[in-house]
Amino acid sequence: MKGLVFSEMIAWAESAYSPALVDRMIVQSKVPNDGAYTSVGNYPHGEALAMFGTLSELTGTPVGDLARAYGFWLAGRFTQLYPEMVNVYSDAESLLGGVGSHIHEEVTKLYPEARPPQVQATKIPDGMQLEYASHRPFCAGGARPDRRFCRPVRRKPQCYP
Amino acid sequence: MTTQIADELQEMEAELALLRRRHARSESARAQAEALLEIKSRVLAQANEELKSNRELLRIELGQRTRQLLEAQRVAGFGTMIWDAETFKGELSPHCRQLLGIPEGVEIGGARTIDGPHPILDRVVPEERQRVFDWSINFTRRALDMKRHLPVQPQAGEATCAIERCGTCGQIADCDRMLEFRVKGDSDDQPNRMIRALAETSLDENLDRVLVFITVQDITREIEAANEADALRHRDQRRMRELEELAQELRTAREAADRANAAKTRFLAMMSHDIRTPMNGVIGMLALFEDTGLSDNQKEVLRHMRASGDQLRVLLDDIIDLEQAESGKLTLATFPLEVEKFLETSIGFWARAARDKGLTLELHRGVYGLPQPKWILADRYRLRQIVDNLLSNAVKYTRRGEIQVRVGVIREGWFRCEVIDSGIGIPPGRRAELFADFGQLHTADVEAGGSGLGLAICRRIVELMDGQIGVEAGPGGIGSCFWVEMPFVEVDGPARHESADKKVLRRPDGGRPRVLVAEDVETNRIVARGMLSKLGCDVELVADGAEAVAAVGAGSFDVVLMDMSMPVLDGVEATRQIRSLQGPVNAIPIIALTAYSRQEELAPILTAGAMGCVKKPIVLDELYCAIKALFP
Repeated sequence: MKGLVFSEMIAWAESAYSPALVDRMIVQSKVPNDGAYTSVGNYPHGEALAMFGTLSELTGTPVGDLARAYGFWLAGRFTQLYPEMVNVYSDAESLLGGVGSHIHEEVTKLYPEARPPQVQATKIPDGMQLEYASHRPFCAGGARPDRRFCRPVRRKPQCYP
Repeated sequence: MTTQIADELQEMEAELALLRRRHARSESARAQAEALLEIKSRVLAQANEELKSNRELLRIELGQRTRQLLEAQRVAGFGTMIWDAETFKGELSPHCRQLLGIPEGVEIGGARTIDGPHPILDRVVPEERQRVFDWSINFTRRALDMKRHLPVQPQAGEATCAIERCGTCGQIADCDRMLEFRVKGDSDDQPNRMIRALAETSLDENLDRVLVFITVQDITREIEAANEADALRHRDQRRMRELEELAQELRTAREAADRANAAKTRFLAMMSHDIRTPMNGVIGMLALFEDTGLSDNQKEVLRHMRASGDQLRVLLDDIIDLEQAESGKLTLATFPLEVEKFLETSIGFWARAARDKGLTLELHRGVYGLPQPKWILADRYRLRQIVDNLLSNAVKYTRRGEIQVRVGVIREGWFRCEVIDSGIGIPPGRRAELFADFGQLHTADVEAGGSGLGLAICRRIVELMDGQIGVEAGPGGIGSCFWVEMPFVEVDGPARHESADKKVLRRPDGGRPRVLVAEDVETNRIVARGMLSKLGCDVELVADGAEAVAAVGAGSFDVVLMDMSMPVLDGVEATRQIRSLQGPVNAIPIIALTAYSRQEELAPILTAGAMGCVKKPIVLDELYCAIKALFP
């Protein structure tokens, strides 16, 4: 998985909790490199799963809630980090529609070794239907799913404050 | 206080340791990033080099392709022209400039107005300027229109033919894309040239400009060739018509010739029939004359007269036979025939003729090793005709030496007869002619006699008998070998055979037969009476059919010889009346006596009730056989 996901997670966790808690999370998760992640590197997704698990234990917050909060934060970061990619979309619907066809395509151009999930967005009468398929076991249906990530699929896109 | 300081110190140390760890992580991450950056940089540098190299290759390739394209255009005689449908700016390929006669450097583009100077329109002959302008402006407008109407924007570079893709003008024919016009010659003394232009539209790579793409081709020679081909085709058609007319004339002429030929043959047959009646008298009288106690000298004269008469009779028969064969009416009448006797009499006759000429004639039987049949089913008269023809030719054309007749069964059911002479022979190239009608060979060596019909009739008869006839060189290349191969059917002979040599007729009870002869020509009556008397018959003569009917009704005759054409009542009607008489006299045997020899001419009297016929001039043998056959 791209190093950006890891470096941004650490930045998010430090801002959401504290550098000390994040230090504990890293130490307790016993990840290789002692949690030194660079955004341009590639790291096993299992390390992210381990760190989220430790953070959940340390904060008493479910992994799914943590992941959702991180995702919300990361979406904001993307607009800062990659404005040229995000700004071509005028709304959330078109952005979601472009994830699979445009954004992930650009990712694989920059990082040929990257394996982004397949995301297909289809407009339906009362909203959008998002189909997500990944080789990583982040949800039910994966090879060895980590159940702590699982939540029922919502039909409508919903913004978190 | 100390404790507080110690706590703070500990807290600070912990914070410092945390910061150190964070710093270490940052440093580690930076080192990772730098290492990755180094790798990426190298990859990038390498990729950049590849790009440069590829760009150079592409530039070279593009140059080559462009040169090839221009060369291909030059070889194919094509030029290309392209202009922007909105701005009217465009460019011409070098060959296109050459074709249209536009020098390098002259800016080019579509024409907005017909008036004013325009590099392309100025090259067009004045009378076609308007047409070329209309076409180009229409096509350009339609291309722009098409762009506005397209339901789906095409991809860059995709061909978008206005005519094919425009939904509003679907009826426009594809040929609207094409225009043919004349351009002025390069100089005043050069002739005009014919140019064909073919237009298409396409969008440029940015999908916003509509380009009009036109190929031009010099078709002057093509048009000239087409005109020439047209002229040639017309000339050929005219010749063909002339030939057809000629063929039709030839066909008409040939049909006329065929009709004339058929008429000639019919005329000959008619004439020969009319000659036959007086001939009958002459030959018959000559036969009777022999028994009137002549001196040797007179007998010699008589012999020559009879021979000439016989020759004349054969000639008449040949002409009639040929006419019958031509009209497909030649038929066979087959009866049991004793082979040995047939050979003896037919060959024997010619053996004497050969001896008289100082030649030897030898008969070899059974030459192919198979047994010779005793009796076969055959038409004696036609068979004799073949033998007579072959042997008379052999005797006629051989001056010295010998003639051999070789007869035998060559295979089951087939016999072969060869007549080999030591005569002048026949050149191979002319052998086929012999069997054609009137196909006598004229040579300086022999003064040929006869009609030249004999072999032609032989061929027809042999073919009628499902056989074959031919000629080849004689043994050692000397003389000729005429051969005949025919199928035969072996039959049992009659139980009792009386020799015809006696030539005396007797009734079954041993008495002299009483014969009534009805014949209007006096000469013929005398001939008939003479011959019948010679055969031992009592004869009564009447001159017409009515008298014959009365005589049959009144008297007791054994046989009636009835001429067919007679005054008062002809033979056919007389026969019919006799058959309708009361009492046993109506069953009296009647033999038709006729100069007609064609089968269909004999039919009426045979239908009326005649039992046989004897042809005039009467031959004693035939008369004997005909009457003999009536007495069992």
